Amino acid sequence: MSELLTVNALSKAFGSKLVLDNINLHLESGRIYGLLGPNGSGKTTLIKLINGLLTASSGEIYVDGDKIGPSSKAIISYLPDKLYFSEWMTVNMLINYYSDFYDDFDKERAYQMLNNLAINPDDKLKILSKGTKEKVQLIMVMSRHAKLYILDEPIGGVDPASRDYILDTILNNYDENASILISTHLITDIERILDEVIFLQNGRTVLSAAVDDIRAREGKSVDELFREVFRCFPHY
Amino acid sequence: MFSTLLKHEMKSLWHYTGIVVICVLIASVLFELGMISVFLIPNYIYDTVMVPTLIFLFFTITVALSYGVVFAVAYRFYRSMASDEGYLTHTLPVTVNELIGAKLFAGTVYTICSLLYIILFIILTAVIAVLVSGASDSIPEVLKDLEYVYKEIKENIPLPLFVYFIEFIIVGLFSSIYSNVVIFLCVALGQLMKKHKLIWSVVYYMLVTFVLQGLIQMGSTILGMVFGNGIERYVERVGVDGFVTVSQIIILVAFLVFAILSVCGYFITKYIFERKLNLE
Repeated sequence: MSELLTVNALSKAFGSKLVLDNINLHLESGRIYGLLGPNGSGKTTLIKLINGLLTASSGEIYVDGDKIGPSSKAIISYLPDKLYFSEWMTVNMLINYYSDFYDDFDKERAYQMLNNLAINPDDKLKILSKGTKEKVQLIMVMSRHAKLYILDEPIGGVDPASRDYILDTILNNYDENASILISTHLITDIERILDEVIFLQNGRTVLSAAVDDIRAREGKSVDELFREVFRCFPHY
Repeated sequence: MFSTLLKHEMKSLWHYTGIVVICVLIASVLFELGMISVFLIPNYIYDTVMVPTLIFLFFTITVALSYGVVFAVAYRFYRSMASDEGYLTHTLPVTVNELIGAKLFAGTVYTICSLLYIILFIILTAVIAVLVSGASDSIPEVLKDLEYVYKEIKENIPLPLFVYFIEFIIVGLFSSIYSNVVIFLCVALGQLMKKHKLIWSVVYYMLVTFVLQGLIQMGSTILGMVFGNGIERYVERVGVDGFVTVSQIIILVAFLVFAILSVCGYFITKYIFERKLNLE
């Protein structure tokens, strides 16, 4: 397994507030990583930095040996935690857009997934419900044969039935040699698919380990360990 | 990738300007028909209603088209670079240069097309007015006068007229690029702010245009002081050859000012999106 993502001494501050503090990560090919932490722990900031949407205060990021740039963006398929499409576009236009820019975009796979969900490719995005738009966004991201999928809260705002569908879509559509980095705080739903976990707290890595090791060493599930590490104590 | 970006940029701009363009085309046809009717129906009451309406329509067409395109270019740039749509734009496998370059190229094409339409609209209006008003009999006379004017200019000004025409096009092109770059720069400056990025972009636009207009005004004043109090007195003093040289210098200065400001604005914008990107 080769190293796909390397993060060295990465820090990010917004003004005087330090959001990420000296993060070091090494992600290998063919693994599914869970980026776990409570709200405000810095998960989205880290993901945005890896995707080049923010600039780091210090530290370095390498994707497949390259710094963040067109070459890294060509191999990362990123699902943000918000909708980013132009509402006036139709689903078909969106497919053509992705196909034009990403050599690894699989149109056939995209239409197949749309068909499975009974989404009409001729529909404009503005007439779709929020949930359907999120599904379209997931379909676009998972229709790529990317080396690294970065999914920011893919099951954050959806009902339990849709969560299963989303997780199945992810598992059925990623290439075996690719890696997935999933950020979430809904551990129970996602634990079954994870190979490794990274716990973030207050912008720092507090744990980075294989799921099997956690179970063997701690005798607990990831969810139980998460609840223990991030337990909230009432302030009186 | 640049051509792909350009293709999608032209499409997106058409989405934002399409309605304005269609309305302008319909309004233009209505305007020309209205003008013809004014000439063909010699009725005082009809004229008193129609003439002000046509004047209003004429200004609405020119303002709607020129400002419509400026607004569309600005809005499209803001949406795709500094709002949620930026999550898609900035994760495309392209360089910042290609991103801004494609937007600038597409924006400039739209700006120039809108200017050309306005010029053609004015020429068409003049031609129709001459033909319908019965003044067509005097066309040979007008052409003769124009020929005389052309001959006089040719004899008195050593430079061929097409040189001025080409210079006019080049300065026009650079001023179009400049106006789009200023918009891009202000959106880039606005996105440096933590909150209210759109409002800050507008504030920066007002500030930047105010400062640049002030600088250009100051430059013009200095040129005026250097070359005398009045253009006529100056021409008398330096002669026609001297005037041509001075006019060429002024055109060159205008070209350089637009070029330098455009290049500076472009690189500052590029620097901000490359090194200071801060998508919410």
